[in-house]
Amino acid sequence: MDFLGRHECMLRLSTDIQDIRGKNIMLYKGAFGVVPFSMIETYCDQLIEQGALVRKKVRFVFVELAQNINRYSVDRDNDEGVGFISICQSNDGYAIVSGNMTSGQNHKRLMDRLVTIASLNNDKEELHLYKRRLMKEGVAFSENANIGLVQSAIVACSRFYYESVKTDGDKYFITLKIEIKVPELGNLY
Amino acid sequence: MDNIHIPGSHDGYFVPTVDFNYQNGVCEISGESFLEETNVFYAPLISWIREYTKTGLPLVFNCKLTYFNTSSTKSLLDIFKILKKYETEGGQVTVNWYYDNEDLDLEEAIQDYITDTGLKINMINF
Repeated sequence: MDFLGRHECMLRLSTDIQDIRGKNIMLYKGAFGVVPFSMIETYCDQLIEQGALVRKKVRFVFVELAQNINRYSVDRDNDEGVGFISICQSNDGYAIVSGNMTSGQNHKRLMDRLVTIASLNNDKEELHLYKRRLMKEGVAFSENANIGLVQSAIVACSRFYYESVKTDGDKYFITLKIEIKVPELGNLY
Repeated sequence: MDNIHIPGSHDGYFVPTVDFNYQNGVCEISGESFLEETNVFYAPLISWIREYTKTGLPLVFNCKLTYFNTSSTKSLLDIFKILKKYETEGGQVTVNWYYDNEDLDLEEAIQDYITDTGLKINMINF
């Protein structure tokens, strides 16, 4: 059974995460070596209808989520993390959705980080302060720091959603959705 | 000291173009920075700057990066910390960051560097 088959039930669980109301314009599932990064480089300009700055935001969030999968997924293929990532277009912007299996140890750290990010309620100033605090504490760039998620929240200027489902053993399937709502970005975009 | 020239590339990962010139003291990095092994790429650049600061000569650092992922952020921070230390010890340092002033994400990232290091970074629209 392929990756998406094994985890299909989990992809159906979250209302928030499924509430995309748009078309899926790109889906990659598999090992996160160089391939998905080449895809975003190749397709971003073709598929994202808005201007360069919106494309840049989509690409930034995509890269950070893809790197998270490569680094933290416990499903491995030739030492590359396995998972899925998708870009969906809605009436008011884009959503980048990712999913992968993670260990119980990393799950707890990730959840702590996500809860904190969510509690900052999309306040950019607070998110910047949080990021800089992590940098000062010296944990921001260590393994499991997840500062890319903080920066993604800053770049996206929008709420993001997460969900985890415990699976067999001490493993969890993590799904993240980060939205980039174009009208909320203002006239520049 | 040898000069460093690295041509940029977009081959899945994004390698920035690097030109570090000992003769005129101008270091330039441009393009996009998203690498498979960020530390391996930046380590010789950081070593070069450390060595250069031992000369006591003026240094101009021109940054024209338009995109860098979070992993690259740390290496850039290390460079700016070295430059700030050099400046504090009496070195003549000029840092220019050329950017599109409509790119607010990049502007905020530069501001974070200024706040975190205390280094003066001239933000130049182009």
